[in-house]
Amino acid sequence: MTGDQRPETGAGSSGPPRPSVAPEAWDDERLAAAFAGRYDRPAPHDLTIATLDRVAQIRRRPRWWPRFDRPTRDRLVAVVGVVAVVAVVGVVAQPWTSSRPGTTATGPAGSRTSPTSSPASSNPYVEPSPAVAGFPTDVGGLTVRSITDATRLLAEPTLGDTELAIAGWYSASDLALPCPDQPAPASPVEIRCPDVHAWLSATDRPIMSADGSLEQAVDPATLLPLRFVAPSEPLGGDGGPHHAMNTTPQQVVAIGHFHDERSSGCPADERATCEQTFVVDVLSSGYGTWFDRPTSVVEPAPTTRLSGAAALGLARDRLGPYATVLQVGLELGSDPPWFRAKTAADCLCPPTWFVRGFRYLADGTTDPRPAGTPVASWLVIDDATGTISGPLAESIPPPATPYPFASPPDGFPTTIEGLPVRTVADVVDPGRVDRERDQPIAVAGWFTQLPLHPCEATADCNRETVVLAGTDKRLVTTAPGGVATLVPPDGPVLNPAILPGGASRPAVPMGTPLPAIFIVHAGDPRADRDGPGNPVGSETFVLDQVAWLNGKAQGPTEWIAPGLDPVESPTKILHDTAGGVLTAPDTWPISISAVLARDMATLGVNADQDIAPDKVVWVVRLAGRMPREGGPPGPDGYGEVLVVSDEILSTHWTSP
Amino acid sequence: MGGPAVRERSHHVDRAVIERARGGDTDAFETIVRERMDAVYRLSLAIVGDEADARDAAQETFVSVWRRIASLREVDRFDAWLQRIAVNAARMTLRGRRRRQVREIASDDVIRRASAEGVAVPGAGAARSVDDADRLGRALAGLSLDQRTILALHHLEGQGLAEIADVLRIPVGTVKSRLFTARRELERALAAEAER
Repeated sequence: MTGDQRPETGAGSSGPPRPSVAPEAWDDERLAAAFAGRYDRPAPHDLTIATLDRVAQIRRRPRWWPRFDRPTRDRLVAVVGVVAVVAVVGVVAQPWTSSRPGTTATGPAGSRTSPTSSPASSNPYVEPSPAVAGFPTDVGGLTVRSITDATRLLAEPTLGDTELAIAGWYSASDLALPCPDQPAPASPVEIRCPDVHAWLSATDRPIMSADGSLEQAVDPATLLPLRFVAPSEPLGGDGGPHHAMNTTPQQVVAIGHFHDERSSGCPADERATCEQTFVVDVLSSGYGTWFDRPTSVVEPAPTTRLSGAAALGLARDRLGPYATVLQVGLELGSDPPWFRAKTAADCLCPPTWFVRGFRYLADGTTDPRPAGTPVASWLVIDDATGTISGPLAESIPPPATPYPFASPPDGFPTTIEGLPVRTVADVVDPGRVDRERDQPIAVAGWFTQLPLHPCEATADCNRETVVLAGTDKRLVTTAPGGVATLVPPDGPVLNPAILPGGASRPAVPMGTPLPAIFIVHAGDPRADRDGPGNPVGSETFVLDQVAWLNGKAQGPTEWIAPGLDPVESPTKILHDTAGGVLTAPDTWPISISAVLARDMATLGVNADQDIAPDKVVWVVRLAGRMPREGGPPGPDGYGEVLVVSDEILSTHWTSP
Repeated sequence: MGGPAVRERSHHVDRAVIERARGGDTDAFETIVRERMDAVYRLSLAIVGDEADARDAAQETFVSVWRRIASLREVDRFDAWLQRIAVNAARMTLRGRRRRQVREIASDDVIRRASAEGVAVPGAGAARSVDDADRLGRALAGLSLDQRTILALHHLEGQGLAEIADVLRIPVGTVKSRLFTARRELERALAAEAER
């Protein structure tokens, strides 16, 4: 169908209502004509002159240029050289032994209990690092360390690709660096004249001016060049700050590793440099998103059999419940040479999923690193068959004993409503907590009610007002004029969505952090802003209940749809109608909601049988062990009870 | 998905001019700016959707080109390199303007709407073309930046999959997939516009 053949759309009339039209065909010709009609116009007449004026003011050679004649490689070598010297001096002066003064052998992240299978000896990759002011001590189960401390580990003979978390300030620029004529890099790890130069700096002092040149001399020992390598390079967009020119230092924790396996693709004379390049898996920014999702290069494609969520699920099954997923990627029709070289496999031309994750090394492996070391690698999943392969799938046996979750902070109960209480860090950490749909998760932290409008801080205006932080830091300051300002948290935060049927904001003072335990669930399609099947969107948490607040247990959430005036009260429904269920041992109500049957979907619930649309339906969400008629109780998990008038119509439950 | 409609591609900048600009010749660089400004502005406008932002992005593009042209290794691929910089500049311009609340009405929009509402427009299909262009603009506004970028490269610049892959530096298979998804989203948005 051509443009002339399509139905009249009322063009020429003065405005709405515009007649509804049948589905139209927008073929390439019509689209091209519309694009041209809309955008193919000359630039404003003064733009060329203004641009040339601005260019004339730019010095061709930035003032720092003579310092870095071949800056990328040479400066990297200089950094590595300094780092190596520091590392060697550090090792000679203070070897990493269990008797090293001032260190305590603990499990990964320092704040955690040591794995029961892990010897209580020194492990340089997990033992506490000197605190970096203004940063959390632990992100995603990894000890947060300074640049100096991290690069010192390069001297460890067994460092390998151990996953590390490094605190610092991120900057990136498309510096005007002269690049010699040479072939393209053989390995993606090689830093050679990239479009964007990215660094992690030990200080928040700007290292670049607005025009992209270096602002001042920078001590290379405090500057770590970063390399971002993903299985499929994203376009950027809003995917993260690492794709941005960012001359204003941004506080981040960079999670990644040295000795990337793709270094093997570098030329022999470059391999040492490649191996000492820090490859970033996740750049975790502040403002409430320290570590709330993997670096996502997922691209749901209509031609794939698996969804991103399904691929992630397969990977988690293989990695086990005590692993952390860092990246999920999809390649279409690709043949990544780094993987092919390693496996001698045939072309991976069909769609292939890549999942990068890490888990803690168990006892008894052939890996020379101590038990408890965070070890990361790729899993490769064939989209057509679901077959999983890759180094992590083959070489590292599952941990003999689970890596324990951290205990909640002092003063919090360790269980509530039959659920173990987790820390915010564990819950927001992808892979640490099972996120099956409707699985209830209890999480302890400090609840802060934020003022309205800090959308840029949370990147989601629907979730702006409720934050559960891992520390009791005050997140809001109020200026004398009454203007509220957000303060970045010191560590991970949970920023759940509030949906119909779930908990509402408790009436607490604005900005004052109060100890609280939230019961949340993930995988709720109502909160899936990025579309069904997207593992990022499905990891949005939904707040079901504020179960404990400032030292006191709270009752189940009560929610009645606006405008509804049910005959019964929530209390009566809970005690009389649903009482048979609720009096069962180890079963607790999380929330009770009333809604018309036709609106049940707003609660994310469907009935098992037909219900008159104008009936009042009560939905009770339960945590615990669901009793089942004529049989033993169901598994520990999460149940829903639909109640109409005086009978239970249907039940659903999920289990961990 | 078929290929884009055939479109007359703008001519390439002379290699000798690029070489002179690499060596710091400002006259040569001025030639490049004059020859390629319209194309860069057009692509920027399609990505950012706003005249003021497109102006900023186009200017940033050439500033960046001037800074980096000495590092250009493959002179024959200057156009892809230029477009890559333009795409990044548009992205950064949008990122910087994210908090701006005021919606600007492009002056051309006013003229366009006046034409659609009665001012004589030559040709029977012109009003529909104007309507299509308006609907396209509104539909694109609801798409992601990456989707607008890939659609603009394909349908405005007339580039094939391999060329887009070169500009965006992603595999051809990924281009195909993203283009498919973007096109589907655009058609959905256009259908929604038609219902309004």
